[in-house]
Amino acid sequence: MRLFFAPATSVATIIGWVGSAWGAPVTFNTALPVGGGEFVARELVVSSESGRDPSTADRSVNTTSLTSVLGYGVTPKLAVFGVLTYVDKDLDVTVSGNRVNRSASGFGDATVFGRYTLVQRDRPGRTFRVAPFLGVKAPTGEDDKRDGLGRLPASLQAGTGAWDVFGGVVATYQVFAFQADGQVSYRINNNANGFDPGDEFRLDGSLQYRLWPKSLGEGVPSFLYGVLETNLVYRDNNEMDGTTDNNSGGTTLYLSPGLQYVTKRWILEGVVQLPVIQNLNGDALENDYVVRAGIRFNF
Amino acid sequence: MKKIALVVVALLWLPTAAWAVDQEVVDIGVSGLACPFCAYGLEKNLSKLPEVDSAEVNLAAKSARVLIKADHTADLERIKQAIVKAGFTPGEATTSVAQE
Repeated sequence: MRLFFAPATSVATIIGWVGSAWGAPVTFNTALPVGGGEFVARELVVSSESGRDPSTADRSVNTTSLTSVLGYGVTPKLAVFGVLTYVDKDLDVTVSGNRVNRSASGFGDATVFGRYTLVQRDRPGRTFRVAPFLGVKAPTGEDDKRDGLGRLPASLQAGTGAWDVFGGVVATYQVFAFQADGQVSYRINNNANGFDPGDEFRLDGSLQYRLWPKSLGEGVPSFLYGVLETNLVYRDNNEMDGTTDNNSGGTTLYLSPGLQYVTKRWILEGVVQLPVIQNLNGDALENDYVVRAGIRFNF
Repeated sequence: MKKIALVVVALLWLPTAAWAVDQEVVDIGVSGLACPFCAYGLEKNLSKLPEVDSAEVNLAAKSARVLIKADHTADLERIKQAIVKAGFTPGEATTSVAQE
């Protein structure tokens, strides 16, 4: 059965953290404000490839997703977000000497979360904020897709079929020249259809350094940031019908260089997540890279 | 001839002068604002105030300039509340008069 399991990183990394919607890290959250009564939106395309299979199954998984995020500032300190992803997953695997392709596409599970700014230290031209967040993922995506070989493995389904909860804390320090963010978070992945994905612990860091303009002019000039992010992801073993899958879970460290162009109304951004360390359990499939590109806008 | 020219110029200028209106301008410091994307929400919140004609952020100056409608007066307390609502901290404010 494990031959069909997509890598531990496929769902968590592709969908990513629920995502920020303003000048902020690309791969995770931020503590910057969404003004009271204001909306922010984000569209993010993520493409991932995993093909380094230590097993004889020679698995290869390609995942492409489009994630839409809508955020609303309930108050200056409390913001709520809704996230919906359309995902396309494709698995090639060798079974009994034959190459088999299995795929699924559709809307994934919907996520809502809230973020509250607990600490806000503002000075002219700089800010430091700390904001805990808490969210839930609802099983809105289809989790019973089938093909000629039967029911697709859980990790290939668009939805998980389970209610999951997650929470964490994000801190942001921002000045004109750069922005630094750090986040610690935990996600409890619950059982559905006998499959229990391992829980996930993440430690994320981001530095966005202003490359242009060198000096600020009048008004609100646009910024070009160089971005460097790291994501340390630990995922527990999956379980199938109560039995631990020893070929799942483990630790991955991503290093993600990228660019971000920030204007008053919109942001264009892109990073490549490179797995510099992958200490995965057993024959868990390693990730090759993840590409993220998106646009954010406020209204 | 010179006198006629002066009279003509004066007549042309008179309507403009008659319509010139004084507008109050508030320059207010904004703390915690350090990126372009955040500026939009601040300008929008300030512009929503009924007495505000327009609002513009100046990132480098760490401040916002609020132009008050001609027949209104600035309410500094409300302007500060709008800044807080946008997620930032208001600083010192100065008022001046500009002619439209």
